[in-house]
Amino acid sequence: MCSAASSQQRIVIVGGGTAGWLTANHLARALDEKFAASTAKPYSITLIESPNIPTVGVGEGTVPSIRDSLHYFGISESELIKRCSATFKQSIDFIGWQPPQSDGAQHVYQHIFDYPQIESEEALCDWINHGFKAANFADTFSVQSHLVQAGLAPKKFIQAEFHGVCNYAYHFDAAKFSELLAENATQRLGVDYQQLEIAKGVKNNAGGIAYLLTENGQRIEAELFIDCSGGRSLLLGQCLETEFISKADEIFTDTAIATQVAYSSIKKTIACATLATAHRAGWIWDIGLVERRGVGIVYSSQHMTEADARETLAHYIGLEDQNNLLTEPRKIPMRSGHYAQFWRNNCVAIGMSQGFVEPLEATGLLMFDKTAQLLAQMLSEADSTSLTLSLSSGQLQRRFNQQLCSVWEGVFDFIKLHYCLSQRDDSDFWRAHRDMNTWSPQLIQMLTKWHTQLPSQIDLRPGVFNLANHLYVLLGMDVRPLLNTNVDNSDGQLSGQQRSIMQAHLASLNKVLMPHRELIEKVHEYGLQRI
Amino acid sequence: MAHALHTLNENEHKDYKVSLDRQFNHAAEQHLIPIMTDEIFDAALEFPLVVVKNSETGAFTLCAIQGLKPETNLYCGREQYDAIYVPRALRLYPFALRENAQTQQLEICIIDDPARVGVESGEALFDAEGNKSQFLEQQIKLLKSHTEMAGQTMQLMNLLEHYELLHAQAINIKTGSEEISFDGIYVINQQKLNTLAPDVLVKLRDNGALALIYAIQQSLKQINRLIVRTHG
Repeated sequence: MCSAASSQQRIVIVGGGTAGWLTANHLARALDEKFAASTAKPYSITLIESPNIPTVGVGEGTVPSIRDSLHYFGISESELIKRCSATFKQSIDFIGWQPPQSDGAQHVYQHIFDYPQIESEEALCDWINHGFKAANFADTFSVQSHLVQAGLAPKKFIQAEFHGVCNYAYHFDAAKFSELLAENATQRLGVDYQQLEIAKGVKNNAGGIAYLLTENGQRIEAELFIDCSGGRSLLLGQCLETEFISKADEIFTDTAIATQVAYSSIKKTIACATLATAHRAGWIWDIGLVERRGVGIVYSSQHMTEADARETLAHYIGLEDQNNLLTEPRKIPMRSGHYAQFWRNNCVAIGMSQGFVEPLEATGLLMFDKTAQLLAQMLSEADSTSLTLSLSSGQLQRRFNQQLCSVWEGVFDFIKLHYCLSQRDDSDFWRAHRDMNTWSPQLIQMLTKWHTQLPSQIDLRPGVFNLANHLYVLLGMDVRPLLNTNVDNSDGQLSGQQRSIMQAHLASLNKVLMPHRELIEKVHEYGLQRI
Repeated sequence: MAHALHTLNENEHKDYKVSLDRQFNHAAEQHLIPIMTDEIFDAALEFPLVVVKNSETGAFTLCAIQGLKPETNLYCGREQYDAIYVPRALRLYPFALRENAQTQQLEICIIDDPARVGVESGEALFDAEGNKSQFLEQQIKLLKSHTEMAGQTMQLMNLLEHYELLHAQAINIKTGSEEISFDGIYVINQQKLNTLAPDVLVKLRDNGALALIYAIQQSLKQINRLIVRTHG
């Protein structure tokens, strides 16, 4: 890197997990566009990865915005599906997040990706007052929940890449996904790659990073250091000693145990949703890929012992599938919270190095992607044609930090929403979540308002989870606002009409959609067309 | 096409006869008829040519539109096939080529359609000595050129895709009170075509693709013939 021309701004990314490679792709793509007309690139991007540290490799769930990023990077959907064991994800199905119903059946609701098709506010009010008895919120206002229940894929085989009849994301093998991103960044987008063991970052007088020091004493200098080192936060946390804002008193889950389970038969159906099954001190994820499932338990170590957690996980997997474990169940500590700043001086943290929340809503990859995109946009949209100025712009840094702070606060409130609405009474874990002392002031304010009014977008912070997401959880958890019934005299008619519209739509989709595994196999055989 | 496909065999089929059908009744419920590159200039003078995806493989396929709605054909199965050009895919029937799974050789097959195939009347497939009849020889020739051209057509489709010359377009037609909309159709992207780099243009001109592309593009105007026929 010492050979770089003096005018070239050196961007060094530390860490080669999904966060590092998403960042590399976003930056390379955006800066390439910005400086397309320049004869010499005024910047270089280098990703440094330790040859020894394995990535966590658990993040297997995504949200639909990943499709835009992949398309932007120039990665084809067929490639993703073939190379990363990817499957389609249309929903998170929440099982047992409320106590069982009177007939003993598990409580189930779906957080699907399609926006609810609410024809009018009257129809929604009508459902809240009457229609909920006939069908749940997602089933009334969408077709997607029905598709997931029927095991149907979200797109027709002849639809173009990244297009579907419903909104969708993917489940995939995180390690293979990293490889695909790395190949794209290095081979197509001109990112340099080095394997080096970084011992530490060394501070400069201005409160930034002077250089990185490798294990064998080499110094690496750069104008911008991007910390994608994972939970240890090598630069932002360890070197710059940035304050960490813990959310442990809001989100109690602090440990995960993850494993992989092979399908008992290659013809087994693949779930088109992440299954999130609650237990007495947390929940269990279950993600279906092509040849295997990723399964893991998330729990609060204050409320459950490790032995208990392992037993709960084993019980979930079941005796039969115990023989199909591909990996030893592996314990992963989790620290909920985020740093007070994410961009300080010449150091930006992206990935678990900037914050972490348990994986309930697949926020991991979502946040990596959003943050990387935000940084890339800021650097490429800045008026100045000089990257040097953008990199040192205090204004950009403030905007970046403010926006991300708001996003993180919104994420924590949204995760908390899943727990604090539960009436489960089988452990202190659930009872403690209902204690309003563990709610953020913003969450208290929102839930107070939603007690008697419909939620609206303006109640929410600008962030990654919007009104539709909140409606699915709130109404899915059977928390319906107590609306003034005087204004409503439809008596279930409007929501009945709504159900009929969805049934008709569903009938037409039933004819053209195929089962999930069948579509995946077809893509493996023929690929999808780009248009 | 629910009829079974049998590999043609001079013993088994020695008494078989195929009756001719200038109304092409077998395609009466097919609104899209595949077209190969060597047919483009002829077909484009009468039918709109569009690209659709093969529902089995997703591969791009060039087709002539012969009906404005699925399962209707405004030419085949009518009193009279009222166009000068008959796509080869129609003329092949009831013959087809199929790859033998074991030998990977292409085999001539006959479609067991009782409306066309039998022992009573029609053109004999073999003579008394078991030699292929002139009629059959002609059909085989047609099959072979169809297969050859299928390869060329695929190359043309690949070119169109490679240079991003296709784009999806829903075709909406108002005929009287009825509104018909076609989707899943790809047509030539005129804007892309007009801004092709000079070296690409020369390449497409030299390999003959450019004239075909313009013919395909121009053929869309033939949609008016179909509209007129709907009312006629």
